[in-house]
Amino acid sequence: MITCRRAAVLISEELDYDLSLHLRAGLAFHVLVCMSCRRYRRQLGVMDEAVEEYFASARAVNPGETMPPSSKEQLKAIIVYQLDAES
Amino acid sequence: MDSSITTPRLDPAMWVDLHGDHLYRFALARVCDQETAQELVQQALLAALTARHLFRGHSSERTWLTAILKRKVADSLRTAVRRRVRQELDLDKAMGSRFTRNGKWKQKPGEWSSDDPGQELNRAEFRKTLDGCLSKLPTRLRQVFVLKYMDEEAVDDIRKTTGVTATNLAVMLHRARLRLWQCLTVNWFGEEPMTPSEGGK
Repeated sequence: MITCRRAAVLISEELDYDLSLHLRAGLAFHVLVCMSCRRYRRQLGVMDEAVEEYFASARAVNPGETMPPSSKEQLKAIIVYQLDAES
Repeated sequence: MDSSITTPRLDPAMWVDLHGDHLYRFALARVCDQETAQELVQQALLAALTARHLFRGHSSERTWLTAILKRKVADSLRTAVRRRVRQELDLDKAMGSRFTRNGKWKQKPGEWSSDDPGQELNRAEFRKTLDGCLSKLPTRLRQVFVLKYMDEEAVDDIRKTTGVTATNLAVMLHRARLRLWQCLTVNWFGEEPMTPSEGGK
């Protein structure tokens, strides 16, 4: 039987891609008899959905955040300089 | 000047004023570092300046600029992740494992006070905890999440473009998740650390 350490890796991997039948069976059997990994799997599933939602929503961005004025001025100057150089 | 009749109008001199903050926030959310975010906005706008004859007006000016910035951000994250994979793997060994030598949990996962995401109140509370944990996550681990989730990068695609092996990437994601899960577990329980009885001996 696979160890909990190995099961934890597979529990993460199954969130990213389909495991082979062999690995799926190994994991399925492990969680059947191991309550800790069963919990970990369920909690990681909850977490994964929440993380996905976090990044999909605007929560990852602080709406009050603005680019520092000095940085803006500098960037504007560079752009204007480039435009002048072209014309 | 003659091309302005057929080419949609862009006004580069106004880009910073009109879109600067928007672009900055876009970058900042992904790289979590103000200096890098500014640097990326600058790179993106200068690239846009050079490429502005390619703008066809199928999208708004802002959408077009954001798409360019998105590529710059992705490049930057990929480089960072590639550089850090080895470091991260070494660091893990040094930090010790959450598992015993026999591969069992040192501290067994406890029950989260709400595993049921259907309950709206718990859900909001859980989201708050998650926000806190994500913001506390070391940059190198957060970057892996950003690459995977923020721009819907398929893991396969990250692997191809970063040149890291599937195994290494799986390990990075696994470590990042384990770390985040640990933080959630501790904070989801409130101030009380996990008691031995909850560990399910």
